[in-house]
Amino acid sequence: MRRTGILICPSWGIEYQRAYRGLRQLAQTLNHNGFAALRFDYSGTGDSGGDSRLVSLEAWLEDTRYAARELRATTGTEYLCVLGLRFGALLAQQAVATGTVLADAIALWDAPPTGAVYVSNLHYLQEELREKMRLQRQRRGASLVQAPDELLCYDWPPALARPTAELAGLREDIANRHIFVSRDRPPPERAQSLRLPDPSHWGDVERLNSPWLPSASFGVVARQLASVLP
Amino acid sequence: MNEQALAFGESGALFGILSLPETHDPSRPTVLIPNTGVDHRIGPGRLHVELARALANSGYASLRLDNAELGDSERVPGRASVAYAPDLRSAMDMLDAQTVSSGYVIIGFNSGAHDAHQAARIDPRIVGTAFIDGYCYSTRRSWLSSALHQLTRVNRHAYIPLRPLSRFTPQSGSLLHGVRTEEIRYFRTPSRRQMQVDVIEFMRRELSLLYVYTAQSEGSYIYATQLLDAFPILRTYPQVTLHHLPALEYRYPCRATRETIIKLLLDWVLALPMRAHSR
Repeated sequence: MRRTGILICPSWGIEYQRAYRGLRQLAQTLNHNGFAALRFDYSGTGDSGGDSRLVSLEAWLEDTRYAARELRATTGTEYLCVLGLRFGALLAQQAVATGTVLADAIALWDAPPTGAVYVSNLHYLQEELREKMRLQRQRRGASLVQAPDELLCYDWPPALARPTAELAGLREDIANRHIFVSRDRPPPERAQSLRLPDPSHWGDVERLNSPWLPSASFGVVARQLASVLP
Repeated sequence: MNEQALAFGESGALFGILSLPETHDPSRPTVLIPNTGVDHRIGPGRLHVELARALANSGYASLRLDNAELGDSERVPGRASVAYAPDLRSAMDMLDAQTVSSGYVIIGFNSGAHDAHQAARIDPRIVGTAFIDGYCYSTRRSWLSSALHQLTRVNRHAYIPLRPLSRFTPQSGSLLHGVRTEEIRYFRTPSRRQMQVDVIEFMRRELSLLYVYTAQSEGSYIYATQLLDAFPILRTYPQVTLHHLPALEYRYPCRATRETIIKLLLDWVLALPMRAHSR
C-alpha cells in the first residue's frame, strides 16, 4: 500500500448522482494502483444523515475534515491527496486553503473556473431543463415549478448557494502540488495537467441524468497519481 | 431510526442500506426499494432515502438496495444475464436470516417496477407491490385518445429524440458513459397475455397491488382507468389501488412532487393488511 491516501470529494446534486458509480470505479482503480481511497457523502446528501434543506458549505467543509481524519485514522497513511470532482474540486481547494484539511496534493477533476461560473452553469442548465420538459409535456398548463431553494431537482439552500458562488477558481495561495484533470479545458499555467480521453458532458442537458463512467480516464488519472505521489 | 450498510448475496456482491424504526413490529412487512434506472440506491432527487426514512418514522423497516452492477453492488458471480429479481430474492434471504418480518413489500419506480413485478411472480414472500410508472398497456380508448390528441393539438412540435432509441442494458464501465438515460433499455414489457396470467396469480395470492402512473407514462398511459380497461379482471379485486397523476413530473424534480409521491406510498403501506407470514 502506498503512503498517500486519497480523499474523493464528490460533486453536488445532479452531478453527484451521475458520477456515483464512476467515483466508485475510480476508487477501485486507485486501489489497484496501491492507494487507499475514501468516498463519502456530504451531510444531507446521499446516504448521509441530515436534512438536505439545511445543508451549508461551512458544514460540508467540516465534513471534509472529518473524512480526511477518518481516512488517515483507518489506513494510517502519512500523506493526503484530496481529489475533487466539479463542485468537489472547488470545495477541496477551499478546504485546503482555509486549513480545514491538511493535504499534500490536490487533484482537480473538471474543476469549474470559479464558483460563480459553476453556479451560473447550473442555472443555465436549469433553464434548459425547464424548456426541455415543457416540450416533452403534451398537456398544456403543466410546467416545472421549483421552490427558490431548489436547483436541478436538488435542494440548493442559500447557505450553500451563496458561498459556493463566491468560491475562487484555481487558487494561487495554496502551496501544495496541484494536478489538474480535464479534457475540455486547458490547464492553468502553474498546475500539472492531465488531458483525458473521455468527454464529460457536464453542460449537456440531454445527458443530465446520464452515467458518468469514463473508464479509460480512470486508468490515466490513477497512473498519473501513482507516478507523482508516494 | 437507525441505518445499517449491508453486503449480501453471492460473495457479498450486493449492497444496500437497511433503515430500521425505533421499535420493530414483526407483524409488519419490510419494504424493499430497488434502483430506479441507473441511479444508485438514493433514487432520483434522493427520493428513496426520504421514502425509507419516512417509512422508518412510521414503524416500517426498509432496504434500499443496489441491484447487481449498479451503485455499490458488484457483478454477481455466475450470473450471465442482467436480471434483478434474483437480487431482490437475495435481499429477502438476507433479511429473513436476521430479522423477523411479516413478508415483503416492493416499491419500484420505473425500471424498479419491472423488478418488482418479476420478483412478485416468483417469490411467495412478497405480500404487496407498488408499481410506479411500470408496464402500460393500450386500450381502444387510449389509442383513439392519443391519435385525436396528436391531430388536434395546437402545438405540434413534439419532443423528438435526437437519435433513435438504442438497446442498451444497464452495465458498468464506459459503455454507458454519457449515454442518455432515454436510450437505455431497461426491460421488455411482458405480453398482454403474460401480464393477464401474472395478474391472476397475484390475485390468487392476495397481493396488495398499487399502480401509479405519473407524467413519466404520459405518452402510454392516457386516462385514469386504462389499466382496468386493459385488464378488466382487476375491477373485481379489492386489493388493487390505482392512481393516475399526470401532473407529477418525471423523475420527481421538485421537493413538492417527491413529498406527494412519498405521502401516497406511505398511506398505502400503512393501510396494508397485517398478516402472519408463512414460510
